[in-house]
Amino acid sequence: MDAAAPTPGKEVLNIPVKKVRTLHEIKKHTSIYLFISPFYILFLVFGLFPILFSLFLSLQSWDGLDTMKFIGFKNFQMLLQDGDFWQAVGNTFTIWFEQTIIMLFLSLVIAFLLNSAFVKLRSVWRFTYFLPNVTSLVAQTVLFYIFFSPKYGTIDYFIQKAGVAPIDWLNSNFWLQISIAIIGIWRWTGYNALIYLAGLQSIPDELYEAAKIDGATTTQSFFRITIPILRPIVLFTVIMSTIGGMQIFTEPQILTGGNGGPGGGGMTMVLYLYNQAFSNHLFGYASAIAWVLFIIILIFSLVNSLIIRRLSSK
Amino acid sequence: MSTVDTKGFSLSKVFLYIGLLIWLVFSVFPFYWMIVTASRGTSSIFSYPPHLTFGSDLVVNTQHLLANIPFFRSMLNSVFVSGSITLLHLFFCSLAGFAFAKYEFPAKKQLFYLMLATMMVPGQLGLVPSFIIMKTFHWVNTYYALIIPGAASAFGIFWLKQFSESTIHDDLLNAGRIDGCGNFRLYYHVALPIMRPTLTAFGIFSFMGSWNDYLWPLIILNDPVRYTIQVTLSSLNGIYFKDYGMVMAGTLYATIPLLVLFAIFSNKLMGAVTVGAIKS
Amino acid sequence: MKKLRAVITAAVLGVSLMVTACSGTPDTTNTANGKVTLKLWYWNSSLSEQILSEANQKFPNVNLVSEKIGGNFESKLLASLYADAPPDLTGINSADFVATMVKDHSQFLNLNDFPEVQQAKKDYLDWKWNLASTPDRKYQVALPIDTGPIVLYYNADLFKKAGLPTDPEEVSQKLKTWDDYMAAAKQMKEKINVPMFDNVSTIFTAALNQGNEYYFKSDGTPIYETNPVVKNAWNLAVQAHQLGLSADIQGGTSAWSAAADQGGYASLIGASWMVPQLSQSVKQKGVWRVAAAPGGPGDIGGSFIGIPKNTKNPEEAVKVALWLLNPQNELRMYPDLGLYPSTPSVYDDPLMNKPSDFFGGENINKYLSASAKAINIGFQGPYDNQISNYFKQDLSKVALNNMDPNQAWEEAMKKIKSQMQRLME
Repeated sequence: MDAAAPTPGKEVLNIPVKKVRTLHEIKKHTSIYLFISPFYILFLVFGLFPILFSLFLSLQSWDGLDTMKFIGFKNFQMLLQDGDFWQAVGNTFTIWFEQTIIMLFLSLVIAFLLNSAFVKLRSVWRFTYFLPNVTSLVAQTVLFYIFFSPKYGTIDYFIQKAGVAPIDWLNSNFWLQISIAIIGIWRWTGYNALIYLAGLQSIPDELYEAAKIDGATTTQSFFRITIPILRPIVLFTVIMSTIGGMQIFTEPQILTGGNGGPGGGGMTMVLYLYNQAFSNHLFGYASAIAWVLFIIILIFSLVNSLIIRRLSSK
Repeated sequence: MSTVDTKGFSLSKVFLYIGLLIWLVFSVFPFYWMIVTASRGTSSIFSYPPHLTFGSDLVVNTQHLLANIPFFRSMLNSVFVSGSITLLHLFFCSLAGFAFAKYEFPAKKQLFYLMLATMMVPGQLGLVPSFIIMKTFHWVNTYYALIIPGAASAFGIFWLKQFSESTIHDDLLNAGRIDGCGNFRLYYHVALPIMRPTLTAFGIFSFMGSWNDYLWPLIILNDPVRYTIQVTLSSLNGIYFKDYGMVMAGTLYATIPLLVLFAIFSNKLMGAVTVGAIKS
Repeated sequence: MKKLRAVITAAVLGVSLMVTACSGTPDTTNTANGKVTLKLWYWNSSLSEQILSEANQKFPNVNLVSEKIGGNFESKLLASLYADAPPDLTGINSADFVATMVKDHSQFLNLNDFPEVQQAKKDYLDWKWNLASTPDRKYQVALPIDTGPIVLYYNADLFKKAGLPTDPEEVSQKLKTWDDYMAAAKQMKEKINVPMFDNVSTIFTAALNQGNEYYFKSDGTPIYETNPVVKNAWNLAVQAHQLGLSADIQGGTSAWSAAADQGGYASLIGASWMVPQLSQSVKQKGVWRVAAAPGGPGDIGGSFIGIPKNTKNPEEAVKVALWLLNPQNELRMYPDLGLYPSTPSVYDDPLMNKPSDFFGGENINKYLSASAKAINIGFQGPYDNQISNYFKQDLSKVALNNMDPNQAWEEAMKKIKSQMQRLME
C-alpha cells in the first residue's frame, strides 16, 4: 500500500517541501477523494448548510408565508424561559434512559442465555428475537397504541386478570414515557442481544481453558475475560441507542396524536420542534429550538464519548 | 464456551428455557395480535374482554382499506423510494468504505473522524431549513427530496470500511495494480465481488431503514398518490372516526413485505448486523 | 460475480433515470382533451365520496381529483402553501383553523369577487358564513361544509338506573343548566357509581362554546385571562373532576369507543359527528338518546372549502365548490357521515328527520336543528386553537395527574402568554 501520509507539524523549516509533497499526495489520490466525496457533498448540502441556515432563521420572526422580520436573539430569550421546551428535553432524556437501561440489561441476559452450551435450535430463537426489528415503526406504534389503551386495552386486560389495578398507560406522564420506552425495547432488545451473542461467541474457548488451568474461578474469568471483550460492543450499542433516542418522534407522535399526551410527558424534543414549525408556523422559533437542541446533543455526545474513551482505555 | 455450567442440573435448564420463552412470547405476540385485529370488525377490537382469536372480517377490512387509500400505490412508492435509496447507498458507501479501508491519503484520519462525528448530528434538527432548501430546489412533493439526501451515510461507510479492511487482501489489490487497474477498476473488479455478501445484507438493512422513514416523507410529500406506505398508514386515522379493523389490516399488509424479506435473508442480515458491531 | 456487477451498474443507471423521470412535477392542470383538472384535498369523512364522484358527471369539462389527506391535515395544507404548491380546492377543518386561514387570507381567492358566491350566501347560516371572512366582511376565504351544533348524548339505560328521566323531552327539561347537569351527575355517581362525563375537555369545550366571547375580542384584545366564559368553563371542568364525575377517557381514542360500548360513562355533549362514533357499538343500539345540551346551544366545529389563490382555474373551482356544498348535497352528507348541514333550508327535510335506529327511533335532528339555529357565536381568533390546547393540557393535568387547579390555571396562563409572545413577535 502507499506510504503513510506525512505527519503534519514539527519540521518548521521544511514547510514548502512538505506542502509540495502533500499537494503531490493529494493529486495522486484524486480518484480516492472522488470516491469519498459523495458523502461530504451530501452532508454539506443537506446536513451542514441547513444547520447554518437555521442559525440565520433563528434570528427571524417568520411564519413561512409573510416576510421575515429580524428580531435578534429574542427567540433564544423566549426559548430559555419556555417550560414546555425544557420539559420536552427532560422527557427525551428520561425516555432514552429508561429504554437504554432496560434494553441493555435484557439484551445481555438473553445473550447469556442463548450462549449456553445446551440451548437447542439456536437459529430459531435468533430468528424470532430479531423479528420485532423488521416491522414498520408506524405499524408497530399503531398496534401498541391499542395495546396501551387505558382501562380497556389489551395489556390492562391481562393486568386486571392478574388481579392488579389497571395502568393508565397513555395518560400519566410516567407511564406514557414507559410506554414509549417499551416500544423501543420491544424493537431493539433482540437485535442487541444478537450482537452481544456474537461477541460472546467470538471469545475463543481456549481463553477460558487457559484461565481455568491458571486457577481462575468462573466469576474471575467472567470479569477478566467476558466483560473486557463485551465492553466495546456494549458501548457501540449505547452510542447507537443514543443517536436514536435523541431523535425519537414517531412513537410519541402516534401514541399521543402529536400533542405529547395529557400531562405533556410524551412531548419529545423533535416532536416539539415539529409542532412549533409545522403546526404553529413559528419557523424562526423552531430554528432556535433546533440550535439549542444541537448544542445540548453536542454536549451530551462529548460527555458520552469522554466516558466511553475512559471506559475503553481501562 | 458457556457461562452456564454445561453439566448443570435440569432445573437451571428449565429456568433458562422459561426465560427464553418469555421473551419469545413478548416478541411474537404483537404479530399474532396484529393478525387477530386485522381479521375483526372495529367494534370487536375495543370489546372487552379483548378477543384473542381470529375473526372473519379480514376481507371486509381489506375492502375498506382499498376503498379508502391507494394502498398498493403507496407500497409501490415505498418500494421505489427505498429501492433507489438502497442502490445509491450501496454504491456510494461501498466506494467510500473501500477507499477508507485500503488507501492512505492526506487528511484521511481527519476526514474519517469528521464523518463519524456527523453521525451524532440528528438530521431532524435541520427540518425547517431542509424544507426550505427543498422548496428552493422545487423538490417538495418529489422523490428527489427523499432519495438524494439519503444516498450516502456515515454509518454505511463506517460499516463497509470495517468489513473491507479485513476481507480485501492487499496482495489482491497489488496484483490488480500490476495488471494496470486504476482505482475504480480495483473497486469494481476486486473489491466489489468480495464485498458482495455484506452488500446484500447491508442493502436489506438500509432498505428496511428507509422503508420505515416517516417524519421526512410526512413533511415532504403532499400528494397522497405519492405517499410512501408509512405516511399512508398514519393517514388512516380519520379525524372524526377511526375504523380500527381497517387500520390494522393496513398495518398488517405493510408489515408483510418486510417479514418476507427478512425470512429470505435472515441469516445474512443477522450476520451483517453483528459483524458491523463486533468489528468496531 | 459478473452478475452482481452488472446488477449494480444497471441499478445505478436505472435509479438516476427513474429519479429524473419521476421527479418533475408535470403540470396536470390542463389535460389534452380540453378538460380542466382540479385537485381537491379533504380528509376522511369530511366530504361524501359519492358526491365527489358525481361532480365529474355534473361538470363534464372538469376532472375533479379528490385526495384524502391524512395525518395532520393542517400541517400538510400549510406545508403546501409554504411550497407554493397547494391544491385547487381544500377542506379547512374546524372554526379554529379557518380563523388562522382568515389571517392568511392572501393565500386564498376572495370568494366575494364571484357573483355566484354572493348569490349563494343566503343559503347558509350567517354566523357560519362569517367565520370564514375577515372582520370587515370584505374577504371571504371559504365556503361552509358542515356545522357543529352541540347536543346532549346520553345512555338512557344508565339514566334510568340512576333514577333520572330517560325521555329526551324530560331530560332536556330537567337538565337545563350546568348546575342541573352536575346535580344529575352526582346522583348518577351515588346511585350506580358511573361517571356522567367522558372527560373534562368535553366539558370545557362545550361550556366555552356556549358563550359568545372566547379568548379575544374582535379587535384582537386578549381576554382569555379575564373572560368569565373561559373561567366558568374551566371551573365546571375542575368541579367535575373534584367530584369524581368524569371517566377521564380522552376522546378519539379506542379507549373512548370501548368505554362507550361498555357503559363506562353516561353522557357527553357533542356535535353530530359523534353519531357515527357512538354507533360503532353494536351492543348499545337503542340505548343512547339525544337531548338539548345543558347550558344552551353552541358550535364546536365543522369545516369549510377554500380555494388557494394559485389555482389556474378559479372559475371552475368556485363552481365546483358551490355545487358540492349546495343545500341538497349538504343534506345528503348528514345521514351518511353525520355532517350537519350549514344550510338551514334543509333542516325540515324528511331525510334529516328520519327516526334513528341507534337512538331507539328518536328523531335526533329535533335537538340538533334547534341548537344550530339558536347559536350566537363570538369572535374566533387565529390562535384560539393553540390556546384551547394549553387549557385542555392543564385541565388533563388536574384530572389525571392531580395537579392543583389553581396552580394549573396559573401554568396555563403562563404558557399561553409566552406562546402568544412568540406568535406576536
